[in-house]
Amino acid sequence: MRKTSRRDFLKGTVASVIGGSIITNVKAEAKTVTEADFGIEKKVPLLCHMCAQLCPMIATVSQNKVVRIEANMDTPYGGICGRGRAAMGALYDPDRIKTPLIRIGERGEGKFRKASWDEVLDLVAGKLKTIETENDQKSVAFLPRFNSAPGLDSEFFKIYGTPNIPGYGDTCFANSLTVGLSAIIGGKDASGVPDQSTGAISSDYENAKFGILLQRNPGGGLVCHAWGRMFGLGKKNGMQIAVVDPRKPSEAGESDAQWVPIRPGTDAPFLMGIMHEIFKNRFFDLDYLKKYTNADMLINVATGLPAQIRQIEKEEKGKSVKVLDYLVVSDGVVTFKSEAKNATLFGSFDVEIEGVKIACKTSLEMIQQSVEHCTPEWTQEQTSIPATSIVQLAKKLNDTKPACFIDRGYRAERYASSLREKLLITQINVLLGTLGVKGGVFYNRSVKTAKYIHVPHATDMSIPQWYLKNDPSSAFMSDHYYRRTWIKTVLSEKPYKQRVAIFSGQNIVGGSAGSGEIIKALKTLEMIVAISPFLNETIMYADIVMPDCTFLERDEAINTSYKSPIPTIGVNRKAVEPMYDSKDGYCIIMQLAKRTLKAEVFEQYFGEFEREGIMSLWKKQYSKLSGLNDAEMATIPPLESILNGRIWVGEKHYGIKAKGTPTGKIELYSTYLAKKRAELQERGYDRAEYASPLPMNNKPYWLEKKTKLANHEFIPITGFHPLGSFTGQQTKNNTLLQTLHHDTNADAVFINHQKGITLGLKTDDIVEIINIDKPELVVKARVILSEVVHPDALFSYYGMGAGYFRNMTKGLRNVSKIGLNPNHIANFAFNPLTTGHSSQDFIISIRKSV
Amino acid sequence: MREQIKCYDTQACIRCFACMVNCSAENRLRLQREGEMGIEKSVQIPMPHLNYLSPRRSEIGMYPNARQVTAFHHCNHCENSPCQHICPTGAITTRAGGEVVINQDICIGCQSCGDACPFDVPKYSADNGKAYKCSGCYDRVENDLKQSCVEACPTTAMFSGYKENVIEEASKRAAIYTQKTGKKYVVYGAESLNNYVGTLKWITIVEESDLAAYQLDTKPERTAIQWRDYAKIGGGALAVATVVGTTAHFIYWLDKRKKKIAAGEGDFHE
Repeated sequence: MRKTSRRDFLKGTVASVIGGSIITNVKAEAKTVTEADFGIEKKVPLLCHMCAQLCPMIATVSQNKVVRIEANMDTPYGGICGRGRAAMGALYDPDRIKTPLIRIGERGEGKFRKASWDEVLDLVAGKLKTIETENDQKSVAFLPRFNSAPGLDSEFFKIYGTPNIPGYGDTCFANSLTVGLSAIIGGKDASGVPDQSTGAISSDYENAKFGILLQRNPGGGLVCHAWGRMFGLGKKNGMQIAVVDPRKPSEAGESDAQWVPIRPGTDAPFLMGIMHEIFKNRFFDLDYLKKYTNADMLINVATGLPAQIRQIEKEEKGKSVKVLDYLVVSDGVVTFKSEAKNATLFGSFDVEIEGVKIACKTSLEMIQQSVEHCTPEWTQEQTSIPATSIVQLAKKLNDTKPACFIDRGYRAERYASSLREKLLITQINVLLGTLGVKGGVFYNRSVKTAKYIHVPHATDMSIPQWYLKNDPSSAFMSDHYYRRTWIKTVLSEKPYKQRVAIFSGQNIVGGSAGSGEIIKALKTLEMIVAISPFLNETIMYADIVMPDCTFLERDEAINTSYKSPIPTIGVNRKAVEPMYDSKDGYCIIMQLAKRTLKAEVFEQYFGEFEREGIMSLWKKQYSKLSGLNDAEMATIPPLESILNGRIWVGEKHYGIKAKGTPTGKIELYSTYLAKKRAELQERGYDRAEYASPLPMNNKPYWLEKKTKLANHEFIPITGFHPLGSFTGQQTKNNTLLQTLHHDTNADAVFINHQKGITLGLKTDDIVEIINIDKPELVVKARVILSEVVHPDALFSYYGMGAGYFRNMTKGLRNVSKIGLNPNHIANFAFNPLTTGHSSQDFIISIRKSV
Repeated sequence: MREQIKCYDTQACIRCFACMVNCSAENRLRLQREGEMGIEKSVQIPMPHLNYLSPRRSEIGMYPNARQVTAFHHCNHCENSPCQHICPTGAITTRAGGEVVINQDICIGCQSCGDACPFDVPKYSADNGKAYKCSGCYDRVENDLKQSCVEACPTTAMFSGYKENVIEEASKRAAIYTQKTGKKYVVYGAESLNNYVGTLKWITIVEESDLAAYQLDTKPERTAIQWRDYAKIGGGALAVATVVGTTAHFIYWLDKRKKKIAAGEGDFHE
């Protein structure tokens, strides 16, 4: 049979000049088209897992192959980036793990033998059962990421009896981004720490006139749906951008984006300089502060605590809620806020409370005074940003407010000062009156689905609960995201010993600062299991490897967690059957549950799933949607419609409000922090000032070590490559992306051109890089001399270099054999209070490799 | 078939490279349709010549007054298409929709097109001795689909349509940027650049003083070539089979029809 082709098509049209229309002849030639060419073509809705953001997309499947990926445009923010478009390259990656594996060499050597599923499942279930008979389930940790079985996997391990499910977020956003926002706007209680999800707010790129980007560019970074799309549309609307960053990212704009190079880790003094200008020139929004914030709160100067508080009940949406009432000065009289008509925002007062005279100031007065010394000249000294730029940026914020923002950033855990930076960003957005306002920063909305499995309460105290209680330096840690604190536990056996780790999609060695210590800890475990479609650094240390399939090969729970202004419902469906001998995550968990749990327990929690499959999960999830208004509920389509690829979306709301602060106000002066700082001081914690509710120049670790770097020394900063994703091979080893990785020097390190010349370097030289605290770990990388990098910074795309622990690159054809992964050589340091990793907060030294 | 053109907007672009990845992916799908190589195999081989759209990065200025610029390197589908004029076998033609295309069955790999192209576009593949460049996705366009790069863009930085509509939208955007930034933005390629290339069917919205930075040549020429005698051989273009109607065509038609049916049910928005 003759095959037709595009070239024939071309010939056809040349002929058609003579022969007439092509369309009319299709039927005549239809016999050359087999059913396999188009008859089984189908469209399958996916949620992209090329990074972790689950942007809605659609796969075209032809001849049982995924042949094309498109954005699912059934949402106002529809759009996927280049990573998603390359999903076929990950699905058909010939270097995927194809069968279960069992280690035969030393841990780290990467020597495995093939095994059957029964063998590996029995080994793991056997170990879990042994530990259960010893009543030591808490010594098992399950570490999930996005290649997992949402709705079933963590649930299984909780039912099994471990309270320890360490998430990865402490090496990303937790807990600086969370506390930096929720200490001021409030949040739900997570083991005593206020918690807003990392997707709580968005900058209103589409409607903003001006914005300052810090530590993030929404363009080529992650979250195309909705941030990338919103950002692009904003640029199209003429939004002006200033990028305060040690390296200028192209993604924020090339012709029209102001670059303000900053010394790495000095965002806090920069923001204090901006705040100084806001107070000096009265750029703040007085009405906003009066109406919505606790700027008028009287603070006891000696303690930093509110002068006096009392609990009152308040009507809110027809419900009675308890809030803290506090003292203010109203028309010259000290009174409680609930009874005040015209509270004063500035001033110092001696207030008599229960017969004692106390020196008090309004919280706004205290904040103002705490930045009084932060003149543009002082700021220049700290940050290397010219004083004139500080003045200009503050003025531009004032000229455009409230349609302006300082971006919240993401992947927040970089420096010891990260929490302070996030607090200052929130405070400035509040001072300018942009929080909750069109063109400023606003609350995202979301919808919640019903829980499929209600797990029993844990009997043992979890690791984070122990640290939150016993370790002052962990006072603001997340009780969900704590994988490096878990490593601390493995090493110290505090509060108890860890014996088994099961990684599902988490690459703890590649993705967390201080890989050396992490490896040391892993080597002490009795069993390490890794579930992953791809090789990574952590797999090299696993005893048992289970290949789960990629997201294109499995159905998944309905997803509603998006960094989007509007509530969104979508689902990932299976486009093709699992390849090789891989299995989907649900199948793996069900098999483990079946082999581990007592028959009646299995039946109680997993019986329905075993009989009805994932449909039972979808039905349950969809049976109760919460967080929506009546009008939105009326538009909810039948479940089938979602399963067929419809993306349901709700409404966008602007609105200025707190989200559960103790006072019910937006707390420009955080009462949570005030209270915690007092407690931490009492406990003798030496970095209690990192919890201050007032602006403070908390230093990064590297500046405590050296105030000036030697010529050959740098701070290793990173940013996402537009076609890279954390440390994952789904993008790094993706052949579809290889040419573009090459075109953009994805594996190189970039330093300031002039500085490079003084070091005798030229572009494409190979350099050796060491952390000055760990000189034994030498990494080689190709250097590029660049005009768009601060002299104190060495930039690399995050996770794109091979790094020091690069054994796995042998099995990955497209992964560079050299290049920096700062995590590998970083110190095993923790950011004060939040316990996030200090991923860029160390000093490296470079020399030409000979 | 009315002429369609594309526009790239340097201001709305977030440099995510979705356009470039999608171009490369679409060309692999074409290999599958042609029966040359299945998609599973083709995404395992880099094949840089299938990236018809590539970034060319450079840095402008000196620290701290510096920036990186990402020029988009691609075929401009010139009105006067010098590659077509020089092609000795007639392998290069301009389709009714305006796309300048290479017919690889006729291409003999002489690389004259590369010599004639003032933008240095056609890529030569040593593997099979043919020249490659953007086909304007005419197979998609002629079936009412957007070009794969345009379809991929999440921010409407890449858009296409009938010439007058695209130029109107581009001019509107340029005027907004000029007003908001205080710097003059122009639409490169909308007006004839010179007699050698004429107007372009891939135009670019760019700040005027950045034309050179984005490697947008306002006087594209290949002096030596212009003196060469154009050897146009009509026979090559006619020496073709008469097969018409293709799998590709049929799949696109089917795809479109399925979407319409789905939209009719109100369950799937286009």
